[in-house]
Amino acid sequence: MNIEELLAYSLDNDLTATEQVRLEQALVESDGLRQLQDELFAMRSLMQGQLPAKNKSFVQDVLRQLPLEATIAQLSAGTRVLRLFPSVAAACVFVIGISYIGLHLGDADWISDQLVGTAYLSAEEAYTYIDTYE
Amino acid sequence: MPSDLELLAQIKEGKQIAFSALVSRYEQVVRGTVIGMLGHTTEADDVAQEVFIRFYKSLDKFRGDSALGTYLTRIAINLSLNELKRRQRQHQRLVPMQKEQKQVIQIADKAADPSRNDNKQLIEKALQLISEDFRAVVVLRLIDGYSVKETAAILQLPQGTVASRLARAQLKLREVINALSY
Repeated sequence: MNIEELLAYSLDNDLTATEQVRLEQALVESDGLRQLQDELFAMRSLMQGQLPAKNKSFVQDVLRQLPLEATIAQLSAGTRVLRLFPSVAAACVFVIGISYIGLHLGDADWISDQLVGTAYLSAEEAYTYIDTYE
Repeated sequence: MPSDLELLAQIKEGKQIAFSALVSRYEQVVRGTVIGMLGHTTEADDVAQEVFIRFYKSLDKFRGDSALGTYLTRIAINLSLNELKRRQRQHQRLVPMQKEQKQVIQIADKAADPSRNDNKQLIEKALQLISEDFRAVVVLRLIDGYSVKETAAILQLPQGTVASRLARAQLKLREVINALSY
């Protein structure tokens, strides 16, 4: 580490006794090094005031981006999928619907008697039904 | 005033007002980090906002091993470095130019800038002319005010590396400031 680096290093770190003596001696002997020390102090002082002022709209700008994220994060897994992937959810509903219809058609439940409502009539009730409507 | 941990607990319960308090508390340090790394650009505020959105999304990953400010600053540094990489890629595609040529032009621009005496702008411009490695340690230590130990933790580097890098960065920064000033 050269003497200039040692000087800069000393601003943030403890030096060993040997380094301390070397730096102090160099500072006594060199105008240039003392000037460098002054400039570094001035620069660091300027840097300390470099934090930006608060931006009035910053918090609102962040929150404005949040609602969708926040709402979705708080939903149940199923609802979250629904919100994030509506087309996938619609496809699932469609497939479930088709499967349901397919199952019932497979069982031949949708015959005309059931649709008319006579499938579960006893023979006697059926005769009465026929007499009534004929 | 509620502590960071109290605010976090409230945020996890879905209280948005707690999140806005947290953003307000750390806005300056996060924006200071991002602006220090990227300069006062249009992307800087977007990146600073993204820091908080990322944090919100991965709230459960924060285990409290480090202070919240340190954690947010780490996100800010990482997102800023990503943005710088994106800029470099874009720049390489659009304007193939040697780094030295670019610096000469930027220094010439500064000479023509009527606000050259504005120390804040001078430092901001000088920061953009030193390497990213140097810039990160300077921003964290000298602008954000983190200790060398905290800076090392944020950058995930050994403390000795940060200390020596910081010493060299200050010398380089002073050199650039002098070049910009005359």
